[in-house]
Order: sequence, then C-alpha cells, then structure tokens
Amino acid sequence: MTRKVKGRLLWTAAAACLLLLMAAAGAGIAPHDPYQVNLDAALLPPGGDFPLGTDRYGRCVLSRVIAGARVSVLAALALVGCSVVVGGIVGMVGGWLGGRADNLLMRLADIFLSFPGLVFAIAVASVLGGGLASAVIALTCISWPKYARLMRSQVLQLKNEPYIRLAHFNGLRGMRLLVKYILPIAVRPLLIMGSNDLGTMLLELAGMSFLGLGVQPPEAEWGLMMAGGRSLLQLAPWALFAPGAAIFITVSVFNLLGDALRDALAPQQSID
Amino acid sequence: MLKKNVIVASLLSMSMLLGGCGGGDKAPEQQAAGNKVFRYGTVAYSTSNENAGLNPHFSYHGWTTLRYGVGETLFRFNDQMQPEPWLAEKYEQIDEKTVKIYLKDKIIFSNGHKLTGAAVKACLEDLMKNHKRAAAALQLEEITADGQTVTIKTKEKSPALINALCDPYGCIIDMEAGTADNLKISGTGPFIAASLTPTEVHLKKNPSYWGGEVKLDEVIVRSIPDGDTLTLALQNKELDAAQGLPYASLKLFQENKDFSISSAATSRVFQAAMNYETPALQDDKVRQAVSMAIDKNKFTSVLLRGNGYPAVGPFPTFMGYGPDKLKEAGYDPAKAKELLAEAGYRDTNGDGYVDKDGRNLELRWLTYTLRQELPLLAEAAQSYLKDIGIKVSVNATDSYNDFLKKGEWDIFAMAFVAAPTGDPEYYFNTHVAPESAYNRGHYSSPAVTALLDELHHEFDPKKRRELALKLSQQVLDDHAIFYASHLKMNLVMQKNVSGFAAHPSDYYEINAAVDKKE
Repeated sequence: MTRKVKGRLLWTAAAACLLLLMAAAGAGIAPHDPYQVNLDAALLPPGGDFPLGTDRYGRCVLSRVIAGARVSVLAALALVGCSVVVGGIVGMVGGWLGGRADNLLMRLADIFLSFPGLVFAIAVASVLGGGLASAVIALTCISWPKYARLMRSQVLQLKNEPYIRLAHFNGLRGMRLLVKYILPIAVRPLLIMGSNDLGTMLLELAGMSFLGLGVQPPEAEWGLMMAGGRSLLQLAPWALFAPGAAIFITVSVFNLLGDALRDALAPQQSID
Repeated sequence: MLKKNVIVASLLSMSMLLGGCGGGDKAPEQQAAGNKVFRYGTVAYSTSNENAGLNPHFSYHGWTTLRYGVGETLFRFNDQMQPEPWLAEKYEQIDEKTVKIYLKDKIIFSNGHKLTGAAVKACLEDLMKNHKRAAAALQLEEITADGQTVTIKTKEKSPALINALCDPYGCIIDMEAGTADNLKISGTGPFIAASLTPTEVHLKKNPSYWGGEVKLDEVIVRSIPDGDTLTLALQNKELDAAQGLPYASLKLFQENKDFSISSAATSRVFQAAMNYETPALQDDKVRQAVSMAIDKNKFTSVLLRGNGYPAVGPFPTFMGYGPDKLKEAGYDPAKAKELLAEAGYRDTNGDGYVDKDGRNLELRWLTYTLRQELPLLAEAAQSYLKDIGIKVSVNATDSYNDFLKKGEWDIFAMAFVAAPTGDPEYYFNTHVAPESAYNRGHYSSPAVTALLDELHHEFDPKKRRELALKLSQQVLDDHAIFYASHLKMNLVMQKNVSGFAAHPSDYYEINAAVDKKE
C-alpha cells in the first residue's frame, strides 16, 4: 500500500466515521428538538437561533438534518448489509453446489435483474405500503443479484485454486472448507462493492422517501425533507438546500471511501 | 467508418432532442395571426378528477362543460350562492312539488338550434336516465314542455330544486347533437370545443353566442397537476392564468406587479371525522379534547399562508349560517388535557403520552394527498395532539378508500364542497344522516335525524337557514366532526388579463368577458 493510498483511506475513513458518529448521536447533539412544531417561527431564514433556518412547521432545519443522518445513513447501511448478505449467500450456494441449483439461483437473479430497478422497487414498496422497512426490502430486491453474481464468480474461481484442492485432499469438507478458506477471500470484492454502493443506496432511499414510499412524516429524513421543501424552492430555499447538501456530502464521502478501500484491498483494479 | 457513424448518430439524437423541445411551441404556430389565445393552467382538470370530458350527464364531466364556458345552466349562483336566472327568464312555484320555468327567448345552441322547452325537457330526461347522482338529487317525476316553458314535477317536496339545477350536471345541451362525441356536444356557452384529450381542452369562440361578443378567440386549458410546474409555467409567461397554485407559491405573485390575483371564499371545507367504532373516541370527552387541541387559526394563517378561513361548522360565513353564528370551545390545550384526565387518561409511565389501563392513547389519522392542505393539516394535528399527550400516526395515502373499508382509521380528514347547490340539506344528508354515503364514522344522533326531517319539508329559505344552524351546532356539540378550515380559491393571472374572476361556487371560470390585452 503506497503512502498516497494510505493517506486517502485514512481521511475518507475519518470523514465516514464522523458521519457515522453523527448518525449514532442523532437528535442528541441537535441544538433543538427536530420534531418540535412552532408555527410562530415558520420559515425563518438561516441565522440567529436557527443556523440553517426553519421549515414551514417552524422546526429547526439543522436539527432535522442531524436527526435525519441517523435514518438516512443507518438505513443505507442496513440496505447494503441486507444486499451483501442475501446476495452473498445465494452466490456462495450457487457457486459451491453448481449444476441445477446454480442454474436455478442464477436464473432467479436474472429475473430480478430484468426489471427496471427503481420501477420494480416502487412497485414492491407500494405493495408493502409506506415505511422505512418496506423501502429497504424493496431496494434489497433490486440490488442483491449483482452481489450474488460477484460472489458466485469468486467462489467458482477459488474452488479450483490449488490450496483449496489441497485442503479438500486433506479431508476438509463442506461448510468448514467454505467458511474457513473461501469466504474470507471471496467476500473482499463484495465489501468494496458495498462501500462503493453505499452512496447510491442512500440516494435511492432518499428518492423513495421523496416519492412518499419510504419514511413517513414527521420523521426527519433527508429525502422526505427535500420533498417537503420542494414547493418552497423560491421562498425558503434553505429548507431544500440543507438536506440536499447533506445528501451530497454523505454520498461523496462514501464514494471516496469506496474508492480508497478498493485501492487498498485490491490495487490491481485501481484505475490510476 | 466508426467515426462517421458516431457523427450521424449524434446528429440524429440531437435533432430528436430539439424536436422534442419544440413540441410545446407548436400550438402558437398553428394559430392565425391576430388571434387572441388564452392559455390556462389548472390542477382541476384530469381523469382522476373524473371530469376529463364534456358530457354533463356523465360523472363530473359537467364541471368541465360549465367551468370552461361550453355549457350553461338554467339558473346560476350569485356571489352569496343564491340562484339567479341564467338560461331561464324566471320561475314560478306552482305547488310544493311543481315548478314552472320560463326560458329566455333569444338563446341558441352552438350548433344553431334554438333553446326551447322541448330541448330542455329532452336534456333533463337524458340526465335522469344516465346520471344517478342527479336523479337522486332532483327526484323528477314528470317534465312537460310548452313553447318556451318547462314544467317540472318532483316525486317529493323539493324545496331546493332550483339550487340543484345550478349543479354542473344541469348544463343544458342539445340532445339532437347527442352526447357520444365530446366535440359535437352542443351547449349554449361562449366557447365550443375544438379538441379534447385527458390533459388538454382546446376551445374556440362561439361566434353566435347569445350573451354578446366573446372577447377571446381561443382558449387552451391545460392540466398541470404538479403545483411547482404550474408556478414556473406562470412565472415564465407560458400561461396567462393558473388555478390551484400551491399556497407557498402565492406570495411570489402577490409581491409581483406583473400579476394579479382574484380570490373568493368557497364552501369547500377541510374536516376530520371521528370514528365512532374506535373505543377511545366513543368517549365524548376524548373527541372534545381532540377538537380543542388543534389551533385552526395558526393552521390557516401559517400553513395555508392566509389562503383559507378557520371553519366552525361545515359552511362559510358568506352563506349566512357560518362560523359567526355557531359556538364551539375553540383552541384550548390546557382544557383538552383536563378533559383527557377526566376521561381517565394520564401519563403514568412518563413517556409523554397519556395512557389508560396500561395502553397509550394512539390514534390513526387517515387522509390523502390530492388536496395540498390535507397533509399539512395531518402533520400539524399530529404535533398539536402530541402536545396534549395523544400519539397520532399519519397515513396520507390516495388509496384511503381501502383503509376506510377495512375500518383501519380513527380520524379521517377530507376536503368536501359543503354546499355545491347553495343549500345546506345536501351536506347533512351525505355526512351526518345515519348510514349516509360520507358518514364514515358511523355518527348517529336522534336530534340530527329529527332536524334533518324538518329541513326536508321546509320551503322557507329563512327557516332552512335556521335549521342548518341548529344541525351544525348539534354536530359540533357532539364533536362528531372537526372542521378545520374553508378554502379560499385563488386565480392568478398576468396583469393584461381582465374579466377573469374566482367564484365561491368554483363553477364559473371562463366566460365571454374574459379578455387579454396584447
């Protein structure tokens, strides 16, 4: 690992940690109660008591952005986690067993991939009804297949490596072989892909909330805050820009972290 | 070779893009020079509003016929929602069940046929046959035509018959032209439809309009359901006028000298019905606490940005039996908390919500998003009710009918035109009469039933108003329905537009006098 790569990994990881800390602290470090409606203070411009102004219900925008970090970031993490786990298991089983089971699982993945992503997610979320959980399930539905494919190709490749054959020859079988010798290597590219996807997932979740299919009011969530502030674009732009900037910064940090992670873990894939 | 292909491809895609952009500007090119074209953007015309058509005898299509000046009714409402003759010259109440209507003599349909008693009879008979809501409201038994008069006999006493004839379904059209083809529908209005799609109505002036010179040559009514798009289109001068702008946008036009706004109070009411099947809400104290916890003055002044009036009861002030003549406790969160305590709800576990028998008081607030006020009301109510310790979960969904059917709600907030015919009976018949169509909360009160019966047999307008007041007061005293606000309707237009004004009924928009200076 070169010094440059190390440095980049360090500062992106630090920034990501900061975001995660903010998400964990949530409303605890907010200057005001993010859910306190105060119609007398509606649509105040940034400054004074409210550094980022107030929304149309008179709630502190800064506090809501901070509180929203928890929902947005943690939900994106959960989404990536679900996709990696579901996709990873399916891919591993398919790649390891091969034959008919593999065929069946991969055709299943193809079916899920053949729908246009967000449209399919919207359909699933509408059937499940609004709510954060159903948005996460819906988006997991469209994102697990690519992890499954990646995992499968890793397992297929590793299965024929000499050290695995040797382990097999020495009597190591089934689950133990898979978990102890294949999984630790095979999971690496999945983690890189996951951290790269974190930003995209966050955007997709915010998109679902924006469309009214994710988080429900009055929950502080960035996509929902943007949807609420949309009609105020010309009158109170801060109600829209603050959550927008939060999404932009978070997505950028996670994307940079993904890149740095890739450079550190799999330097052969690096573009520069 | 490859390079050449790329160039060809990019040229092709560019021309497609440009072609796509140009689509919106096609209309002006087709118009003859010197034609006055009025472009009108509205959120009210759409398939989901059930008015994308011009046949008044079908669903809510009559609203389009009437609003955009294709058809006219026998009587029309004045600004106090009292019916006045329009196509009719006058009427005569022969007995409790019979009305004789005299028609104006000079009126012709847009296809050149004369408006006669026989034409009106044919039109009303077709209406009775095809329109259930009209048939139920009018209860016509027999129509006889004689020259320029029609005599209408109803099955029961019908004190509000003339009012009901003002409803958009009462547009008089020439049945000889039929109702099958939207473009052939022939009304008596200042405009004739030239084309009609689910998103746009294109109208041309009726050169032989009976009511005088029509000032505009063409009108294009465009459905723009998204409020922000509508705002930008008007700011960009792509529209001459717009209806249904988001409240948040109105300020942009109020402060701009290039635009003018015409406003009218309407009888559209935003109300929340309590579900009598919900055990907690069967306690009058809890219902009263809910209705005392929400500050409707703040709701209208801050969230509706002054574009609405606080409601007390279903009718607005201008109708003569509105908020000024009714009594209710009003916003008083301290008293609301006391009431909850009296009903046995106290916060025993310190979680901020009151509870009884170990369970928090939780209510499901069902509403929909089609009307921009409703989600705002829901979120405000959620916060206000939290202040007195009631946990509210909001379900704002346009498939609210499913939840109503399943009974998965405690409070249902909706918008409703309380007096579409300028008469109070309709509202009470549909909302508080036991088992009526919109009485979703299963509210039932013997006092209300008795008053309704009295109202049904009362012909004297003054006594009808008194009965309406008594009924409204009874519903308020029972805390069966919470009335939040009345809609103030706004039409925003470019400065050069004249003669275009909002009307309390929400029925009349485009007329012969609407003009635009070039």
